[in-house]
Amino acid sequence: MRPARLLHSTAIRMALTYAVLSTVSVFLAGATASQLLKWQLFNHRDHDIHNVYTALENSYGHGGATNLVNTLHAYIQETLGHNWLFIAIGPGGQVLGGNVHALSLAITPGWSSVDGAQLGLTGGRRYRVYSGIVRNKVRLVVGMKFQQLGYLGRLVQTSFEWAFVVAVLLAVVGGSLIAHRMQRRFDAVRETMDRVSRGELAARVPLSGRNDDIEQLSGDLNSALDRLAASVETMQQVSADIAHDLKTPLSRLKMTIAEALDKQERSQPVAAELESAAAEVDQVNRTFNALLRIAQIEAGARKTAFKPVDISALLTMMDEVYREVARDAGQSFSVALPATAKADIMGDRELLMQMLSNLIENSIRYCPAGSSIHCSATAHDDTVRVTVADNGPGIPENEHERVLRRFYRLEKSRTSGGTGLGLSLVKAVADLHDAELRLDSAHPGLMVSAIFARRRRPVAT
Amino acid sequence: MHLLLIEDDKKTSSHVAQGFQEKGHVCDVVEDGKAGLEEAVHGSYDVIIVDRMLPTLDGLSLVKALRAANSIVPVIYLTAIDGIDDRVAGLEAGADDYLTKPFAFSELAARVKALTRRHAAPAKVTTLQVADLEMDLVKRSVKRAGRNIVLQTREFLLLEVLMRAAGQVLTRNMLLEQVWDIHFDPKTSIVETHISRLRAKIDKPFGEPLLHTVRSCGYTLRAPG
Repeated sequence: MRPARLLHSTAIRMALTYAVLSTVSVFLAGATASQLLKWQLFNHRDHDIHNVYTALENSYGHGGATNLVNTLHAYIQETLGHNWLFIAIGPGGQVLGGNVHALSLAITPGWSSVDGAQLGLTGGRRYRVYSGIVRNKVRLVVGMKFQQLGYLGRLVQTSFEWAFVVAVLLAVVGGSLIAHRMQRRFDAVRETMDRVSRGELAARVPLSGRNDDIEQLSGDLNSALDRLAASVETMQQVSADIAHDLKTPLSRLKMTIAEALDKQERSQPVAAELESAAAEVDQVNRTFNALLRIAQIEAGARKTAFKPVDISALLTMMDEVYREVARDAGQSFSVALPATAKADIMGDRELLMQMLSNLIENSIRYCPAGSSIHCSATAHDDTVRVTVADNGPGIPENEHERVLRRFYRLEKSRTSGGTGLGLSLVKAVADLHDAELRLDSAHPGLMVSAIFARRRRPVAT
Repeated sequence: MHLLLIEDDKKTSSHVAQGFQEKGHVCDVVEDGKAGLEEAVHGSYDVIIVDRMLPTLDGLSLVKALRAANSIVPVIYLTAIDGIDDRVAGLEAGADDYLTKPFAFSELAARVKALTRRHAAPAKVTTLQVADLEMDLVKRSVKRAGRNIVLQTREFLLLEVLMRAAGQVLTRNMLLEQVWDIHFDPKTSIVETHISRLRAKIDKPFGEPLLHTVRSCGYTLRAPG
């Protein structure tokens, strides 16, 4: 990967952020801990100084200033003069004892910090001192050198330094490992999308089997791609279908117009040709509309507008629309409504109406006079079955699958003027509703059933 | 009537404008969406006919903008494809009717007429009358020459739609939409069948027919003479 791309990678950025954050937090933890330690040590030292001062002060009680000076020298002996400073000054200003010989007046009673120079010491060190007046007579100063943190402090510091180094290493190594793995998965997604945009619609993001968000994203992308591929396929199918079924009427139309032009030249009336041309155009338009409608249904956009549909009401409507139409064709038409209360399904009323219309109109068109057409709906626990059956010529069982395809017409009905799209629209509507569409022989005749999921009514309160 | 046609296809617009002019109406034509909206907002028109696909501003946005400007002038859409969602979207945007291309001029003329009537009609009526045919919308009863006529639910609705539009032509598609809520092209003669049933009940026994077929266009119910 090139550096520019590296910085634009979310994974690398996340890893870097992670590294910086963990480094900063280790550093802060170290700093806080050593500060706390320092504070503790300083407290401890002040405590020590004060203890010594109190001991010296108490030693005065028994044998006067001499006793104090003796104790003081004992302390100096014990500490070998290292780090500690002591000085006792009599009421007259004379030095009674101690390991420094000059005392700057700047040293105020109580706690203070002074330079070694003020005490006549070389080395430029600073001292922490406690100064007080014992029994209103002797001025006593006890002090201790400011030191670097002691051994413990250094240990803590060192361990934090190491921890810091380890943390940085871990952050960098772990971060880049994580980044690398994420990058690989992102790259897989990118590569897939690249292939898709280059026209390879079958490409899918490989799934790793882990149940995480990238996996979910990949799954979502894949199902979006599935839908995309399906609608592209539909589009291609539609174009092929249009080419297939519109060319014939268009060429007939052209011939009719040529004929009319011919007649026109010979000053013959052309009304018949014009009428037949208009009819041809109507047919082309009907086919177009049917195709577009099927494509639109198959695209599934209508699903978002699904509402409860009362199947009984729909069948009653069909009864009102078609009973007389069938009677005019010499057929009988009957409807049986579900015995139970309302059978609702979730769906698109307009499309369901068109679906039933197509089935009923097919029966009316293809059945001879004297046939009967029967529509029924039966409600089961989880399903509603809607059936349109007739006792007409039916469809041979081996053709049942094929009649649902676009433009498929039984040879004998080729000339009957339909678009050949009626049953494919029925299929498309059934699919949109996730309904099972079944064609059965009614011995004689055809029985088409659509089995919908029954809508659960909310329990009345 | 003063009509505004917003349509970019010159052939369609000249065909439509000429048709209306022959019927004695004034029809202004605008070819792009923005100019059309301007004209629609500032002119005073009885009906506006809008193509769905227009340059500079599409028909859907045009109608939305028109309604946003508090205009209540009836609008009819011309749509190139008979998409179900297109129709719903068009009506939701504030159009009053729609017509799918290709269309017959007679269909457009009938729908435009119906729109002006719908807008002028009194809000609430309880009885309708055409010659000696009476309909009581409250009692749901129909009488002709004082004799009761029994109609089925859908027949009653069909007659109601025809009587409300008495004197004007209702096309087959208008009846399918208004009476049966059918927005697709049925392959059987639904309208013809029901009209002939209705005729048998309201016209046949009475001699003078009120319900007339308008050739290659639709039906009309009108008083004789």
